[in-house]
Amino acid sequence: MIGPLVLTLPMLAIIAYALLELKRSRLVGFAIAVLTLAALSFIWVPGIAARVAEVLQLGGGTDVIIYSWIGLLTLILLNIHLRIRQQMQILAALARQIALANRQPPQGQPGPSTSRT
Amino acid sequence: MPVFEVTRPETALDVVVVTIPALNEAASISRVVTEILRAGFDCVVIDDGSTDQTGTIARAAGAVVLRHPYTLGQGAALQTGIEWAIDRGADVIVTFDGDGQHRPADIPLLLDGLVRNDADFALGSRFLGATVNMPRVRGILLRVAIWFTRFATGLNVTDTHNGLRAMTRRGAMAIRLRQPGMAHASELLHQIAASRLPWVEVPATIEYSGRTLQKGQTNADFAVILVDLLMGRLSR
Repeated sequence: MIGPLVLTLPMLAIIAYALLELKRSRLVGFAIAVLTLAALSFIWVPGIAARVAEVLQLGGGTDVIIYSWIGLLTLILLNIHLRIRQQMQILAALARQIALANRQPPQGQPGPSTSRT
Repeated sequence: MPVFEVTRPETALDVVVVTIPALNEAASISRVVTEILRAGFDCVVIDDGSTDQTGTIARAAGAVVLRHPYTLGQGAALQTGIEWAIDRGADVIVTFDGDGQHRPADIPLLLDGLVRNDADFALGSRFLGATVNMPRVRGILLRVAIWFTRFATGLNVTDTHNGLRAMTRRGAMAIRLRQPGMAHASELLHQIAASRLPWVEVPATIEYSGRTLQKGQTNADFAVILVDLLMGRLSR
């Protein structure tokens, strides 16, 4: 009983993470939550994993659990990638505002200018 | 490379701002800016963190320059230019490449397209107009991209990823490019479709040269654009 309990705690944490990430990407957050719930059911009701393995012709129930983990980790990596993209967009918006605030007029015309170029 | 004599058409569109995103275009930017100013249009160059003298040369040629502190990508440069033009009170914003592949003579055609059709977007189309020295592989990839764009946006366009466009102030305010790189061209078409504002295509000429092909999109970039668009969709 200790084994499933030990695995369940991080799974619950991942579900909480998925729910928090729904705001960033509904699709990815939802997929992480669903896959984690599936993995939880495989842990607590091993018969389900065996049945899924049989339907998908994946060998045994343990294989299904491993595949689930790989899928879950891939989704989490994808989510981290999306988070980095979002940060890059924020940085780009900041950099664009810097450019807009430092207009360089045509040479010889008055106006705000920087010595960047 | 011929120099075109362009005269600005008499329309109700008072302030026309031509925005030129430029990254290391020192070799061509002076000629591009000079021709546009000579035609009577305002001109802003968005120097996307060039490591050459693009910004200095553009200023010397008479353009206003907005300089990104580092290279953000063409999409981000266009958004900067569009925001500046809106702030400046532009009636029409034209987007124009800095590498010399577009002809200033096509700008009046875009403006005419907006006025005659009461449209908010006029998109240059090389397939309604002409191409000079376009490689065959590029042509095939563009045809595939056009098919994909039609499917994805519902816009029955004849060209895609053509940087020559004009938009009214109202049209520009409906656009907010989030894709910093080359995928912005597809994103722009998606936003035009979502805005439901009227659009029109106008024949345009694209002149490929060894330099524009070297600096522009490579064939492999089409895969990167697809990935960027997918990631953009997932981020919602």
